[in-house]
Amino acid sequence: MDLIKFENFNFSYSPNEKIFSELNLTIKRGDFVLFCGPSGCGKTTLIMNLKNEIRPIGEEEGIIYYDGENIREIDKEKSAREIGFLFQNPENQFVSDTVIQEISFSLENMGVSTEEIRTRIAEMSTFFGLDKILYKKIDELSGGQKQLVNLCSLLILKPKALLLDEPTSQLDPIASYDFLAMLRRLNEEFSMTILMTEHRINNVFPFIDQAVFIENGEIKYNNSPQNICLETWNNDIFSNYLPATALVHFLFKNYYSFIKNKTIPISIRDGLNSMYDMNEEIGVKTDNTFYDEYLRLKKNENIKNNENIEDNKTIENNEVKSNESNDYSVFECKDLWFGYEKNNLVIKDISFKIIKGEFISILGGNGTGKSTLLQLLAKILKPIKGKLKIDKEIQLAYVHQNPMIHFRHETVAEELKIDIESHDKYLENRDIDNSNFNNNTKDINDTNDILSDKIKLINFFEIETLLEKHPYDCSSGEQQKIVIMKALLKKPDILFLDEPTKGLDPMFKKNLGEKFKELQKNGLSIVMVTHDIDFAADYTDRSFLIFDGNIQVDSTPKELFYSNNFYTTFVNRMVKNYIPKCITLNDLKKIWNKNIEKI
Amino acid sequence: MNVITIHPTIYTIYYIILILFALLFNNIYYLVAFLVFIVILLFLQKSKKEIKPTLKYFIPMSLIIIILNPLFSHVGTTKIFLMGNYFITLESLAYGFLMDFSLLIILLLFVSFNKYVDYQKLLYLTSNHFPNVSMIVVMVMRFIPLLNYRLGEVNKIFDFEHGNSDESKIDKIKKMGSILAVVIFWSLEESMLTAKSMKARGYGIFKRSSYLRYKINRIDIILIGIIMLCAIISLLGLYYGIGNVEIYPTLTPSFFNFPLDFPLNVFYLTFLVLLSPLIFLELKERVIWKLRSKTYGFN
Repeated sequence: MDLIKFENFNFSYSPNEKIFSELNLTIKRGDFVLFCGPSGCGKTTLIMNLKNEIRPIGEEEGIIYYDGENIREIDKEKSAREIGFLFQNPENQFVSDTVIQEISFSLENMGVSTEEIRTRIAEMSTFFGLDKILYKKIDELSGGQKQLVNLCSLLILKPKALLLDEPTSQLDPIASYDFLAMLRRLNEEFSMTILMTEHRINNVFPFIDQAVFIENGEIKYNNSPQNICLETWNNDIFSNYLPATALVHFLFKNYYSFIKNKTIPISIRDGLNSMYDMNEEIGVKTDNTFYDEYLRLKKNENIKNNENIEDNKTIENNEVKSNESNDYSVFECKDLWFGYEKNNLVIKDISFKIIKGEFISILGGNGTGKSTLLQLLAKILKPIKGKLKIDKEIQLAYVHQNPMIHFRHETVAEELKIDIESHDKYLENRDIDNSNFNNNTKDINDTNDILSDKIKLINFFEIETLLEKHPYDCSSGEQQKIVIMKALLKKPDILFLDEPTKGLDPMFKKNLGEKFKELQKNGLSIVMVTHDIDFAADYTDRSFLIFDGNIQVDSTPKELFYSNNFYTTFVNRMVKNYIPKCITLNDLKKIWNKNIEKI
Repeated sequence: MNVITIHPTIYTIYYIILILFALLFNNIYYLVAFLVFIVILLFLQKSKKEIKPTLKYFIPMSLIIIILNPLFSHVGTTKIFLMGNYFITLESLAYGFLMDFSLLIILLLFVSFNKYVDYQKLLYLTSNHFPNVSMIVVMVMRFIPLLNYRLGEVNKIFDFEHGNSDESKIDKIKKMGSILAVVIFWSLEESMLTAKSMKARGYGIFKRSSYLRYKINRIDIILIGIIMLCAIISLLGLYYGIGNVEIYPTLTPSFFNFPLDFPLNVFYLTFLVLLSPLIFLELKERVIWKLRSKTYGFN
């Protein structure tokens, strides 16, 4: 029943750096397998090795079996027909300019007769709901539609195995949900074996059969979703790859003994059921509803805080004062209007202020004008009507959603204006400094200060090893990091980011969020367009919901999300019926902290 | 979309014949009939938009031809005036004028052809015999808007990072150079991925086929029959010297003769028939829709 089997598989790009050693893995026919792990852990290399045509070039040992055969020896036609590979970026996979041409591309390659091609297109396009847009131009499609067309173009060959490399990382939540629902259908209705890598796993976990967690080329955990939750919920790295519902479950498990033997909720449905059960149990034990329990704990929390407050009062007062002095708007825009054509206005009458040190997230569906708004604010586009009020001293920095645009040098170091030699020298000097406590002259110190700032940033962004690489050779997550760092080097007062968390792994996302918080305290204002609801809920102070070219909602993320049913965080969707105002896991952790008594 | 569909091959054959005829026949009456026909057809095809750029391109070119032909071609016996060391002759003027006429007709024919045979159909014509060429055409069609978009975005980022207020022309050229470099490198990089995706979907394993299909109907056969018959008769006429006027060395008064005598007008009438089928089909199309809207009361 095994479809794919890795046997003692070794792989390395160069003799010195081994990606995998002695890797063993079997994948059953018809299974949906999810591969997770931090960027650069080798999960993409792993699934790329299953496709002869595009396998990475390097040294390999051991055998991969596909359907009982050595995968390197299978027929070209079989490989093309039976194994489909979908890449991360929907844009670059297109060969042709219309949907129908793109879908038929694979069949045309196989030399299938015109009649059969048309019959299969008729079936597949209807299955995918693409039949209405068959003759549309590719560049008129939305990101979600593009990825669906790509998938359709693979499936028309009726593959047995599908390999997907972060297929939804470029899509907005709704589009990615649609895409995953399609994958689920394929898996259930055609028993298609699916191997997928992904960072955002909440929507995927409910219907996978097996999860494989990889770190540094080693398979650390490989189990069913239920079991892998049990194994890794305490793990620093891999707990980030567990669904929010499971994490909430484990949080409550610490305090309520009756949860002990309950199954771990993986989907929202299970999560809601488990909340219902908990509510009942708490009712039996304490005569309280869940919400009462929450209020009681919150009160306790406040009382405790009040005890501490007297100690903190002086500090807080200071903070308040400094806040007041900082509390002026650095940026103001008044009734902005923008559109490329008269009949198609993208931005309609938007005005707001940005206060110093504020972190604003701009949310909204695809094609609502979020990116356009950001470019208007960064003065990249000129509004048709309306005004921007910015002081001349204020530095703006902007990061495009496609990091490739920002690169124009041969190496990352040049891109960041870092002299590698002086970088090395500085490091040496610093070591000497540290050992001898020698103070250099002031000039050197000054240049060193700038350098040391840069080096701190480099260390923070974990890109030390990339300095001599060409930016194009870095993975998309790494490119994102380089570009954000490049923008920060300008020492901006306002930073405009267009989907900065795209393709970043959850660990680094956390770090980045913390870094932004730190920069905020130093007075940096950040405006971020994002699809990442969790990131917005965790780190931003203020959220805009853009709809129909206008700011529909302007409030804190908490206010914005708790009134939504679907467009909100997974934690909130799970606990909403009982504690509606908890949006993130941290909100819950604040209440259910170590101080409370266990029941 | 038209209900009466004609196979793209028929269109192509017909238009090739028309273009050849526009070059072969230079009798003024033939050419005028030709022009009238093509204008009516374009009007029926509703291609006002497409005519404009063609005319913009045509008018300066026609002036150049009318002026340059007499200047460089000094053949011909009817001298009009002396310019420098050479005579400007009536013949070369007339020749330039007729050449202009043919050129205008050919350009308009192309406009009309494009309206009937869009690039999808053109692809169908080439993909059976030259599958790789048509693949390249498709990829180019995809690439152009992509390149355009990328150029725009990179330009924006450059302006943002450097400011575009006080720049000398040399700076601007330098900037354009580096923008182009970024766009080209970027595009090359991304096209590596496109190539991978093509390979992954089995490009190059077998001889390619095509999804495009057009059926040959009865109307196609009738049409090609009429066209061929008329074309052969017209060519026969041409063989006897009807429809083509000798301009060089001396322009004879027969230049302005209307081909009305018996053998002549048969050939002329066949020529007119050759021009008319598409107009007839367009009109028929309209009648069909008119009747439809009457029966169902739409519009």
